Amino acid sequence: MRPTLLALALVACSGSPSTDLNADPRAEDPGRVTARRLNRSEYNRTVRDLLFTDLRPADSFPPDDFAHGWDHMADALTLSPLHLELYEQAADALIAQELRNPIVPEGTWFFDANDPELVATTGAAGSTGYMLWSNGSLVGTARLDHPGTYTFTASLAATQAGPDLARAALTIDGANVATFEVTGERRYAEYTTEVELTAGAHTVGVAFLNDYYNPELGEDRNLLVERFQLDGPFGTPDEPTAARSLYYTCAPDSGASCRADILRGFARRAWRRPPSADGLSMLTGLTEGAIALGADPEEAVHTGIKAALLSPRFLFRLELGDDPTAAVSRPLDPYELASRLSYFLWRSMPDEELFELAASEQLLEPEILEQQTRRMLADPRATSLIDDLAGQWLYLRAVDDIEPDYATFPDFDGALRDDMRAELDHFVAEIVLEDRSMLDLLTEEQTWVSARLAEHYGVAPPIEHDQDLGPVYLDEQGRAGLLGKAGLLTALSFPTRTSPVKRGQWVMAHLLCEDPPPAPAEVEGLPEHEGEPLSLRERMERHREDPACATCHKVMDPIGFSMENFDAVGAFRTHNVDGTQIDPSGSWPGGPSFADSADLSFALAEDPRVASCMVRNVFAYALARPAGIEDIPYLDRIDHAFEEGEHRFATLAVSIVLSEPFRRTRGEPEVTP
Amino acid sequence: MNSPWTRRAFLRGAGVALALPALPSLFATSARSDDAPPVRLIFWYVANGIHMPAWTPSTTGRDYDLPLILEPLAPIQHQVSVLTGLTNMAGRFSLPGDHARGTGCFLTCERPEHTADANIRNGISIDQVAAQATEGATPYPSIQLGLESGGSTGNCDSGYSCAYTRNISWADDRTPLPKMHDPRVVFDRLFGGMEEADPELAERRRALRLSVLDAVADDARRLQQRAGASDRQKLDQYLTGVRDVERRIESMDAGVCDVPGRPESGLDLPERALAMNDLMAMAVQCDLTRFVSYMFANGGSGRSHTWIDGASGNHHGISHHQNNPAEHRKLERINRWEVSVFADFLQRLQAMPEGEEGTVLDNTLVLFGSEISDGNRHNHDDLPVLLAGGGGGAVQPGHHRVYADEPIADLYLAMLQAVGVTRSAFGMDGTRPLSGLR
Repeated sequence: MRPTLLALALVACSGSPSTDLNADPRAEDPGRVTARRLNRSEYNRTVRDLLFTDLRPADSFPPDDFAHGWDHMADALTLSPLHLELYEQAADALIAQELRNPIVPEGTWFFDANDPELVATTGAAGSTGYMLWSNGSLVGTARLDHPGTYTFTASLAATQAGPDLARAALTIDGANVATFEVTGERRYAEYTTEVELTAGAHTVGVAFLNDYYNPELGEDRNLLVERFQLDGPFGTPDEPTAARSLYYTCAPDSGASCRADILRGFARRAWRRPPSADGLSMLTGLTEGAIALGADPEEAVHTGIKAALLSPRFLFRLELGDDPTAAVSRPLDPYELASRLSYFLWRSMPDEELFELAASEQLLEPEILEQQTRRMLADPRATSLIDDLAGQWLYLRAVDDIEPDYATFPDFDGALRDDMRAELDHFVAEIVLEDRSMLDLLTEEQTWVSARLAEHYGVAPPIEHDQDLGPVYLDEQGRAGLLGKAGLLTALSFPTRTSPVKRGQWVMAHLLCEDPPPAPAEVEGLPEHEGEPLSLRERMERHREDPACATCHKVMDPIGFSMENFDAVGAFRTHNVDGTQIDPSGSWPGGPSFADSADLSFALAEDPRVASCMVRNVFAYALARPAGIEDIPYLDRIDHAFEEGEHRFATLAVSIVLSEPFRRTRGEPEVTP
Repeated sequence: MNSPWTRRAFLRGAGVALALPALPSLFATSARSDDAPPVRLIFWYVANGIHMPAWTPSTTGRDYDLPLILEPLAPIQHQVSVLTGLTNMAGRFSLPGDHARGTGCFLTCERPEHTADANIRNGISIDQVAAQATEGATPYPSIQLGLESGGSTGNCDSGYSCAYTRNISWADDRTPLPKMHDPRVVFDRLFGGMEEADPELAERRRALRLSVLDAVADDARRLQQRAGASDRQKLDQYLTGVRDVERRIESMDAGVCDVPGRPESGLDLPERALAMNDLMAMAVQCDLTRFVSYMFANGGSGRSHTWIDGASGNHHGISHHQNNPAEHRKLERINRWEVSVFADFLQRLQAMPEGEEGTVLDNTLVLFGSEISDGNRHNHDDLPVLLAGGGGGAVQPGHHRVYADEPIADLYLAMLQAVGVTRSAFGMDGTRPLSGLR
């Protein structure tokens, strides 16, 4: 492949030699990937798919270590004692919510006797309770969600008179379910019975059964009601959670072999492969040990499951072969391959279809692998590619952290920032997940904005909406693709002003894979309050007078200046703050010239380095390790397939999945000191 | 309602009798006896500076007057000193980014490297100097808390990494210590499992926890036998973590103390702030830890104080007041609220008896400060600083003390001395413990 003029201009600037120009393919080595701890995104997504939970325990885990622009690079991810503590908490919380014994939670239906909502056939409310002064009842309505055993309790007293004690009944739906002799003389006591009730509305209350009144003797028997209540249901089985139904194929109290079955099924999915004998015996040993300690079978099984969730087999993606020091590569086993595939495309565990194809070993067949890759890309879980892949490589996540200066941009607020992020998410999804050419990321002139963001861009709001976003065109402002997006432009600015250097440097590093070396410390960053009457552009011209700076800046600065029509919050402008007209045109030494940012984006899209840089980024993302010099022969083949496949993401994903570095691994030869 | 203070439970925390023999040199410079209560240091950070005209008392010495912002301290004034005239030189630099730099150096007094990438560099923070010197004395060497979330990557202020604006504790020059910002997570981590009132049940839970940790550690060691060098190293980190948690469970073995109720979910920010006060006070009283850093907000925070009348809007924006009196009034309200929450915390410590006739506050030093002084000028001198508590007799609180542009690093050296750790220098400019605190 002939390097372009741009690529040649960049070689002199790049901090490290451009690997593909100095390729010296040696014996092919597909490399290896160190044991990968699940990062926060993966942990949350994995427990979502393992336990069907809406909990996101990893949101409170420490931030993941960041390397090569990614938060999931195997070598960089460390694990601190704080992680272990939080893993333990997370396991407890997940088990309590998703694998609990499904018993209907108990409730109380309470009735204050003086509540005017109650219905009485006789009597009146009084300061010491409701007085039923002749035979009759006082009732309220309890609406029950669940059938089951309830307790029905009333606090009753009486004014005694005549030969008998006062008699009261607890009534449900008009029927007496229990009758009592009320013994207290104006002293309340509780009377309780147990009742079986159906779900639905029930009339519950108290009836007075033996009124007595003798006006001559001045004797009057009455029933006093203070309150009554239903509690329950007790021990009513509830709908099990989805996870409970899946894993609890038998009742934990039915015996050790049932408990082992539950643990085996859980471990198969949690550990992403059928558990080995030693792994399973660890879990069953804990569970049976817990029973020996006096735990009930529920708690005992939870203990085993907790160990499964705390085991390195869950927390790490391990690819342990028979010979950990083998220099010769081996094909991944089908379960290892299933996990590589699912964590690449979903950042989560394999689904049942992948497990089955792994069990039958069909997953090792290239046609099946390709078919699965395409199936998985069509699955909603593939949206992880937006937040995790594009989120980091294309800086979507950086938009969440933008904080323009409040005084300079008083209209900017959190809602606008969210709209900027939503635009980028939608834009990238539209191209990556709809399997269009990824070069459209640079050249597509249609975008999807909210009414608020349309106003920010200075265009009419979209006519059609889908989830608040609608299509608009921004081509008249010289905007195309990513480099015209307000969110990215803001993320690549200082809080008060634009930074052509940052923008140019970002294009080089993220789209051309040519990371310029950092500027010497003493010149880094343009002082904010410099008093010289030079325009920004004039000051930047000085970069190029110093030969040490010139090699990089003569490539970087024209890129940044082409975007000067977009201010530090990405809004369109034709003039600088000082009133001078902005000239977005530029050229590279010996390379193409361009009229504005859109023109530059089209020029970039034609440069093979851009497609090749896409390949390198997705490759690193897929493997959780950066591309190295040994990968060049493989990368060349993927580059070729990507080009042949019209730069569609699915083509790229398939060719990475089918490449040897993805499908094979090797051991790590011991270094002899 | 369930009062958070009434539920008593076994707290298997290191009690009053600590493992002092393991730390022979620790209290060498201290006259304190072995059974004296422990001394703690708490560092309380607020964002965006303070409106100084309504902060600095006009009188010095005892019974100083309380300007508007400090008024909430009235009930506890005898335990609080105002320290005027301290400077954090490391915050000064010729680049923008004072919020990130000032927050980064808040407890390190070193100038953070100007970078938004992975090559962050700062100094060790004072709380970590103390925690590392006394490691092993408590179940948690230190804890880091905050009210706002956010990771440590990305560009948060003029090319400075978010690591600088979102963390004030640094274990060493490259390792910011993440903070916990959800009171429920803090509760679960510090007190989880302790609220079980039935000792037999509590004992079984503890035994099961330990057996799970033992089993997974065995499993990791089995896996290590089949792993190459890099994988073994990752599993070593895992094993270190497991051992650490096991040690913590085992060390929680004696003593009884009150466990607060688990905070409710869905609290709004002022409620979360009070829940944090609860948890922090309990954590130090129970001697779960002696060193706490607390970010009341992230550096340069733009949160809107919607719950304070006439103070809503982006806090960072308001702090750039441009000498507009209306913005001054908003700042006064925000700052006064910040001080009122601080005063609530101090009163909680003061309400906890400890030792012969003292309180937990008598045996604690609580520093209150910000990354800058004036939000409009971004200056790193004339810092707003409160020092509360007696530090076990190291400090005579209740004074307004005025210094002539002395390094705040010297104050940190004095605080370090109060916990028996002697160092001759700290940060860029700390050379001797600040005088005149007794």
